Amino acid sequence: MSRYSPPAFACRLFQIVLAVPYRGALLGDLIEEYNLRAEATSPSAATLWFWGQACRSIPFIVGSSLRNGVLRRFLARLKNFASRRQSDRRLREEIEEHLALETTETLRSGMPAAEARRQAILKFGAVGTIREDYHAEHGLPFFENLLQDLRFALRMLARSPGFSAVAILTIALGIGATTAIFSLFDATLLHPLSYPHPEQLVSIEDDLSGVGSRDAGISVPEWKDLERSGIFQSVALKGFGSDNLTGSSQPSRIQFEPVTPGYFALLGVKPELGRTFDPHDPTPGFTLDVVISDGLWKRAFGSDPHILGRSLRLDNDLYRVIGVMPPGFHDPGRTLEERNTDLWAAAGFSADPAPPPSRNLRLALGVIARLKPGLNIAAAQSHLDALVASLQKQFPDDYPPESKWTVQLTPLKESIVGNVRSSLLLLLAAAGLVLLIGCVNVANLLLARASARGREMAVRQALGAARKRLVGQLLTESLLLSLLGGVAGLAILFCTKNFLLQLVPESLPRLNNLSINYSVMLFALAASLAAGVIFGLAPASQAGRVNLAHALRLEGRGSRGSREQMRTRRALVVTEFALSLTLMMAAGLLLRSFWQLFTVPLGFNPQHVMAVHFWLSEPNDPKTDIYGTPAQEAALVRELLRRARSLPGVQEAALGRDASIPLNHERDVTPLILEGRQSQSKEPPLVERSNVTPEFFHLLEIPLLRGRLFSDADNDQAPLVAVVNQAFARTYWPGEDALGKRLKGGRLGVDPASTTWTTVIGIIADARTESLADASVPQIYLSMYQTSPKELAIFLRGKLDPSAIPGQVHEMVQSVDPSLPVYGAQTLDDAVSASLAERRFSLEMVASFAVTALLLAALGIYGVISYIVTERTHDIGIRLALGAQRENILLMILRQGLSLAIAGTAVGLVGALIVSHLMADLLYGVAPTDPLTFVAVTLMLTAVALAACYIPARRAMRVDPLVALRYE
Amino acid sequence: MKRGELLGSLEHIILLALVRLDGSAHGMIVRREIEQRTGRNISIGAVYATLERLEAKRYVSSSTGDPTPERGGRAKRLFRVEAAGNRALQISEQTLHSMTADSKRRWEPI
Repeated sequence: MSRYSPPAFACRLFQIVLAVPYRGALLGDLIEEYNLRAEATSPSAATLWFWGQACRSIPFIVGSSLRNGVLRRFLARLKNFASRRQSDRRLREEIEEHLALETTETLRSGMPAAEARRQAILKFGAVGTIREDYHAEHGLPFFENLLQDLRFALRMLARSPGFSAVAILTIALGIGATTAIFSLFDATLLHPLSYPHPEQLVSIEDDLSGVGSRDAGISVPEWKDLERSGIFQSVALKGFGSDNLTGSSQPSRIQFEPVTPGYFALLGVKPELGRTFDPHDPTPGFTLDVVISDGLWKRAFGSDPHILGRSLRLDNDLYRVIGVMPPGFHDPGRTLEERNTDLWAAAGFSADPAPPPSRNLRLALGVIARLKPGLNIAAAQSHLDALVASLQKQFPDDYPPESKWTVQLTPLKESIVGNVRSSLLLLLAAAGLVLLIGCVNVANLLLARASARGREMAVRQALGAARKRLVGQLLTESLLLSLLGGVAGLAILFCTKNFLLQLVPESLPRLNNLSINYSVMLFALAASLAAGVIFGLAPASQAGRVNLAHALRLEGRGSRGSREQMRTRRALVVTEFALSLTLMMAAGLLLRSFWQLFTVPLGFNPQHVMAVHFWLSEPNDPKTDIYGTPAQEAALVRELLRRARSLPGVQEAALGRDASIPLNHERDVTPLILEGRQSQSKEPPLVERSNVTPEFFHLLEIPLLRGRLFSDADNDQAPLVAVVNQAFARTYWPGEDALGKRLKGGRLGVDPASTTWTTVIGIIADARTESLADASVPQIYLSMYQTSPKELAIFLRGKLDPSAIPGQVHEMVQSVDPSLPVYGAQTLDDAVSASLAERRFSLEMVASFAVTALLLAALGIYGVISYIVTERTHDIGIRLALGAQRENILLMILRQGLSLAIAGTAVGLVGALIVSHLMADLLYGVAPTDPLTFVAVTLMLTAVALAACYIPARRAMRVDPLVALRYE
Repeated sequence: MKRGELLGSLEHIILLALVRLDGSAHGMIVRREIEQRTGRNISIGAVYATLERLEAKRYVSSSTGDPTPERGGRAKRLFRVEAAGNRALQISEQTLHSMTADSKRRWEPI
């Protein structure tokens, strides 16, 4: 041998891939040159060279191997495999012929016929082994074994239908739950946006963190800056609102978005009919063209094929339909309302009805952009930061440093679905845990059965079965079980699909239709296979480790499980308890959060209150607006209130801007200038604003703390007044008395100096009208009679009939002005409940998973304790015969169960602590380490464990010593 | 091989290397010869795969030599150019020549 040795692994690599005739010569050549090089340079350089040669040779060698035989041989084997019966018959005939020939020859030497044949067989060798070897050489042993194992596994399953049913059902439950959640996951998070090159699409947010404003909107000059920045292919602005649609089959309120003309071109979507906007349209205000959704086309226009060019009226302005979007198109919006947009109108955002553009006038609510190809988001963000910094230098008046103006890029998809990710991950994890617990349970069942089958295994091993084959067979059995479980799970899912879909809150963003598609099926398959391997490993690893002599000596009865098997089973039960505890803790914490929110003092009384929306049109030309001034509108409002009070059951009525409806999504954010502080910043703080009639506060039972509420006298003749909540007073006049302070809300874009001051006349208690989770959102209310909002809601309190009210209000409003659409009646109880929908969904899901897990864990511990009792019947009998107390026997068994449960709980507590901290942002009003939840769940789990053990323990207590002793 | 055809580039270069090495050599020598002459660091796997193909076409033949310790006890295989191989080289050469004659100056660097 030479002094140097080439890298062994590289050599091995060659051995594996080389099926060429000259493998030896090739390796020899390499090794020879390796030695030469090692001598000439250094061994490490030679090794490097060797590896280089090895890696670069592989493609050639594999190619030549394929040409040269591997493929051919595989095909030949496949052919033999297909005709294995025939070839086996041929082989046997040949062997038989050979034996006959041999026998005749031996016969000639005068031996008796039987003896002659025996001699011939002896000489030939073991026929069975020869046949096996022949098949292994010429067929596909792997597939042959698999087929055999499958057949055997099927027979085993059919022989114990009870066991099979329980196992399959357990797995089906786990797979069904996991797959269902995965399909949700798939529809929301995994699919890319259905626009071309979705990775280039971003959402742009202006944050003014210095004045407490996130996503403050963007102004037209800023938009132009972004367009010119060279970072984006294009940038589009959009607003959002709803409008009165007339000119269709019936007047209705629709969600519409004013968008810049490049909007659809930026998204890269083509209309189903007609065209979309011309991206280069320079119109500064609204163009007269609109694009409508497929839904609106079907709903309002009866799928009219001649829709293109048809005119319709939006808030009395005339528009023309130029295109219809395809059925699957949804606006990439953040809220359900935006995603359900029915109509898009092109606007330049810089002429009527928008005021003249200025940097402070953040008109557009949303900005989406398409990045230049090849630019990733981080690089784009750093370019953008540089742009922001230079703009701040250029326009110091518009961007004072204290407003902390920043511009953030987020992937568009992230902006749509980002906020549901953690809930969905939690659900997926919970479902996964249920599956895992199911696996552990089935593993336990399989182990119990394995001990009953110990003898069978021992016999097979004694007869020469290789351990590999036994393990293979057990794994085949468990994989078959899990696949059947997976199929059953999918079947259940298909059957309950419609029911499950109802549970999913509508507000959950979906990028794709929720369906059981290929990737979901693939997931189910993968989950089933993984489950099969997980629960098959325990029994398979035990197979073949049987003590043959011991197992065979145990006569015909099923052998007792080995000590090791018992240990594994106990460990499995402990695991099960640990997993269940984790899951139950998650459910418990979610339940507590939900309950906290559900029972939180609202600060207003939603009972017996209904709100009905109606809108006044806001034509683009203010001169045609018949409700243009506060006085004009006040007349309408007073008339409506007068009529509303006479509706059946109504005790109180009030009117407000729709943003005043508690817990709805409407937002009206207004910039605020506080007297005496306007010099501080040109960037005023933004607050939630509502306009209400004086009756509003009493109707919702929001108490007045100081000062006074509005009166009918606070009209357009009187000085402007406002009512604020405590949070507002605290935030803007900390340590001062807010009463009598003056501020300007004003309309966006109107020069603050030209408007008059509004005086704070009253302070009301904080109420959770904006968010259930947050009581301290600053809010300001203006008098309805001094302003003229267009988006209105009428509030009614009394013994109302929720089904009759919409019709009655509709009739009442239309009797005053038939052009006003009335829509969206809801009880405030429903509104409160709807704002909890997503939380309720998570809670229901996780709780049902937790209950399933608990049941499975109980089943698991029951199984193990029952087994222990059966095992120890004899032992218990002896104890009883020797005078043991029956209570002691009961306690002894219970203690066994309890020790398992406690061990599981201890492990589970660690897991629960980790999980609860991970889900901290999903909790409300409860700490991740909430002691009450921890104690309650632990106690509950222990109680269930004891109950599950009690049944077998009682059986142990009632053992008849005579029967037990005779049992052996 | 018929008139007007060309050998594949690896086949061509390996046959030429064998001819240079007095008509017979083993894989490593061929590899080294090509590397030394052209600077192309060809992989041994490529050499063997090509030699095998050449053998299938009967352009070369091979015989086994004795295993030696330097080779990790592995046999040496000697490849030899056959008459058909020589002829294939001639045809390739003719094809190349007839295609490049009179037009070389058009692509040769000035």
